[in-house]
Amino acid sequence: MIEGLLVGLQAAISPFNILMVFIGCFLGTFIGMLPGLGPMSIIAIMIPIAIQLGDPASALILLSGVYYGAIFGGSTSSILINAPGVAGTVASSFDGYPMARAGQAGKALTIAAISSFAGGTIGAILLMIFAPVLSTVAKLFWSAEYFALMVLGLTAIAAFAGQGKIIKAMCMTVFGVMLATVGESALHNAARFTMGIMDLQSGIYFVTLVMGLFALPEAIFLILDKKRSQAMANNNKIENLRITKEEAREIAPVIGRQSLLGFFVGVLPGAGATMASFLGYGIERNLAPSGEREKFGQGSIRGLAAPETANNAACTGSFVPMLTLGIPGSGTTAILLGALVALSITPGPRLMEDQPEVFWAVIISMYLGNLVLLILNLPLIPYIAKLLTVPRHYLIPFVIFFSLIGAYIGQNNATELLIMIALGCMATVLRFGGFPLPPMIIGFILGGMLEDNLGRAMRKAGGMEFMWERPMTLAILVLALALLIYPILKDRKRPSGE
Amino acid sequence: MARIDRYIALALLAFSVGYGYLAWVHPLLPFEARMPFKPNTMPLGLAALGILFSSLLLLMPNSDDPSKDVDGWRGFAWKETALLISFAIAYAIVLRPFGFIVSTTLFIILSSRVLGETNIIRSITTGIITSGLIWYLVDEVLGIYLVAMPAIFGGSS
Repeated sequence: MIEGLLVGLQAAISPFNILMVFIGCFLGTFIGMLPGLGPMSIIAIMIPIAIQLGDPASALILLSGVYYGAIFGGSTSSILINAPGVAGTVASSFDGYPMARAGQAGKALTIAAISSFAGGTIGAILLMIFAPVLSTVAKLFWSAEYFALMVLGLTAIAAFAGQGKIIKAMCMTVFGVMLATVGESALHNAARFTMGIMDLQSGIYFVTLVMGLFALPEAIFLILDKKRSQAMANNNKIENLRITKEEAREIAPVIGRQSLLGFFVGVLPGAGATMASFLGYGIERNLAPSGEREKFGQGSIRGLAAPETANNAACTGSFVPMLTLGIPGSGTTAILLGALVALSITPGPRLMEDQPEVFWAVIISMYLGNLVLLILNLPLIPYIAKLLTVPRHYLIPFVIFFSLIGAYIGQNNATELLIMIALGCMATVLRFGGFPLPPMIIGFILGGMLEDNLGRAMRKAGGMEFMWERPMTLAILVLALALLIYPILKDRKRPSGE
Repeated sequence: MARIDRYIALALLAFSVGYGYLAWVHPLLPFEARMPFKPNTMPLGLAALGILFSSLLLLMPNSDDPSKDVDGWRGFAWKETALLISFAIAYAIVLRPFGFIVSTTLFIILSSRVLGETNIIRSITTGIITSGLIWYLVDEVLGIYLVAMPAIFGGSS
């Protein structure tokens, strides 16, 4: 591990890569404050730029910085204007926004910055300890187990999609995998489902899909709902950044607990920052003394520190399955996984051995990213919040423009833009119907790998026998089935109107 | 509106049936037809799953709430939304023939005007500065080729 760390340090601590961390954190924070652009969209925008860097370590360092910056940026808009750009920062608004309204916006942002720093840093230490162990276990996996693991990941994602949305999430997951089958597959040369469109020969470009599913519908909703977007025009006073010693003592155990919880929740495929932040908020509310418990929802510093720590630790945790098994733990890591593939890196158990400089550079960049975020954000808090005052009539065109150009520069193909707009309109309708969109993107990203592993396993076994002949495959598939059926049955048992 | 999810489920069912049909009629090479895993093996399975889940959505009593996004949807700015989507489509069509700077500037000017910008000078300035800066960053700094100007002004598509 020490040797790996030194390799990572050597790769990460070059002036160029440190510059990448700074640029990533800065851009991530800035753009992440715009409610239309969550980490997924921002990373998608940055991928063509990261790929242009050529060096996979630098590209990943840049994207990791963007990721952490975007999470903190999302928290900022959540606290200041009660407009969380992403689901993972919704819980931060429960107590952050009341604090801001009570004239403690500066303090709230400081707590958010410190909690994010602590959660991310402790998460990175845990990643360093657990990733190699998981990687060793993962080497025992063959294509049959990988196939089963992909199925488990897909069903777990659906299970965490929220109460009453399991079937919808499964629909979206299947739909995402269907989209992944468009074009040529790795195992077969003939193109499928292209409808004679030449541009679909190599499949749907994942940046196009991400932009169409996330950034564009967000912009459309900002146009549709004037009240919501005009709320962004309200400015907030940002004074008194300091927190007292008593307050620091109060949030320290919260940060410790939520770093651990957030990390392990983040490791579970599909759980991610959203679940970690809600879980963290709920647990801390239950653990708080009775007098303090009533403050939750009114501006409790524990209520703010808990989700902020948990969501950052979960973000780090979600890198474990991505780096060691090649399975994204969240929608954002699904996009990062796509970026890795685009950079000719195959995530999985071989990554640590084949490209240790990439693996360890990412871990080191997490420490650096969190440190840089703290250094950047504390003094800049009063200034970066001004970005929220960009008038609606420019904010929305910029969101649409950046989505379009993000898809265009990746392929240099105008058809991608039309596909993206069609996907954006479709995603807006799906949002109207309450269909969760992250399962679709995760299905799309995993779809290709799912088919490859299924194909290899079936060719090796001569049919579907591998599913019951290999005990580990069978165990994982049974677990996947249980994960799928249990929430559906639970949903059906719940009395209507609950 | 509350039952829009049923219409979506119906559309997904139709999509799954169509997808399954295309997978079924996918032409297989002679050697592929004898393989345990064919190019249409997984698509056929996916179509079956798509039909199953979308049918479940249609048949099961719906206990979940529709998205919170639909609150007050009758007061939504549908006209502005349709216009901006049209601008985005137009942008996609004219990006190559008009060049990046001209089409982006036009997109930002028109979009900002539709969304309430009253100062034409400010929207023109914002459009030109934004398109110029982004073109410079993407084309000159990052080296990703973007046609800057229309062909008649020396741009090439």
